[in-house]
Amino acid sequence: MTLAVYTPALSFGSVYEEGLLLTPREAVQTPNRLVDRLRRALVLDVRHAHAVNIALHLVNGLLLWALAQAIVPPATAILAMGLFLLNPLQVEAVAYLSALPELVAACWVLLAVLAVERRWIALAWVCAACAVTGKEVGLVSFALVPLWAWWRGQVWPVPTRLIWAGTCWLITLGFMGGAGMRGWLGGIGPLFTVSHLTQATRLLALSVESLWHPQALTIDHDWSWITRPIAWSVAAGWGLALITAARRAWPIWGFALLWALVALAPRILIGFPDDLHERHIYTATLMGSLALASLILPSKGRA
Amino acid sequence: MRVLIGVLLLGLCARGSAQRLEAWRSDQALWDAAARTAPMLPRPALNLGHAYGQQGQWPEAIAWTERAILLTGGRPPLWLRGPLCHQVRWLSVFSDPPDWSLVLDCVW
Repeated sequence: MTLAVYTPALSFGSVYEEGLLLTPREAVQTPNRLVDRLRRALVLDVRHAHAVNIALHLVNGLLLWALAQAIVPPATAILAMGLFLLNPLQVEAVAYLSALPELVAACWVLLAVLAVERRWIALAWVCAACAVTGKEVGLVSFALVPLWAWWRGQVWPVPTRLIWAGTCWLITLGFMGGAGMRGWLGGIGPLFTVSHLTQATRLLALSVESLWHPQALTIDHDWSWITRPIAWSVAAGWGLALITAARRAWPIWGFALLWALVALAPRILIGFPDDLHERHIYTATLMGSLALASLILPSKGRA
Repeated sequence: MRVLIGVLLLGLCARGSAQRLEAWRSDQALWDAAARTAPMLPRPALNLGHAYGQQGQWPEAIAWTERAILLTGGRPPLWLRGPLCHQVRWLSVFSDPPDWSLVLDCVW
């Protein structure tokens, strides 16, 4: 079904900044990520680039299905995969060639979580580190992996925790310095954070609203409606939801909220130059699909 | 019953995705959809003007570029000044746009 939906994209041309990404020379003002350099070296034309995006989206869906099978019945896992693959919110990540880094980062995050689910912590570390090759914000995989392990009730030995935390901090600090991210820290503040949290919440809500109103989706959102009272109310709502989830021993919907919050933390906390768009929600919605599927087809046990 | 709800939801998702995908067919479709969803933002208007210009539809290109300038209130943010100036110059070369020099004083 996903292939049927996305096959028309193979005949699409390049839109907006995509042409720049497919330009052989790097004389363009786009982030010179490893994944972009690989694409310039390997991808022959726009059609191939679209095929790569669609294939990666399918792989991510399959990885989510494999992960879901560990905690929910097979039918629920299939529904979770379908909801993730077919959600209209993901169209920007799949159809927009510039969003390839999001797909790559999500793929590594899923591989890392799958590895930690099997308690292969060293492999999980390697996969989490590889997520950075897709996108700077792939750094969140270092937080998402232990988050999953904690929710699944895993207890890591103290040396493992120390090594994980220490190496992650080193990589993060080194990466922030190397990527010149220090310059982005200027806008940090409580109001900035709650305002970006409100943007992220609106985009997450769009994953549901877009089911009956796909026209609400756009490449450029108007955030002028976000005022201080609205932003602080949304922040309070998040606090209330997370407290409720904690009191109920973190049911899957609570974990999905926590996952989304951690996945979006860099964009909520730091002023990234490309701001917040639908494609940036890709990794954050992974557990949301699983939670929604679990609500529709509930199972016994914690999930 | 729950299985039916799941199947219906998947159908809704597929329909929504197929509809949304159409907006990514071309620059014109993409920015036309963006300009409808966020009519008060200058960037969709500017890029829609650019898309029309690329197809040689100069009246539409000029109209949307004018709208982008209007939406900035004559004081475009720093990140939009470069693209706006570039587009005005581009339209001036390939067509006969109205005199925007007064509007764009702040930009130049």
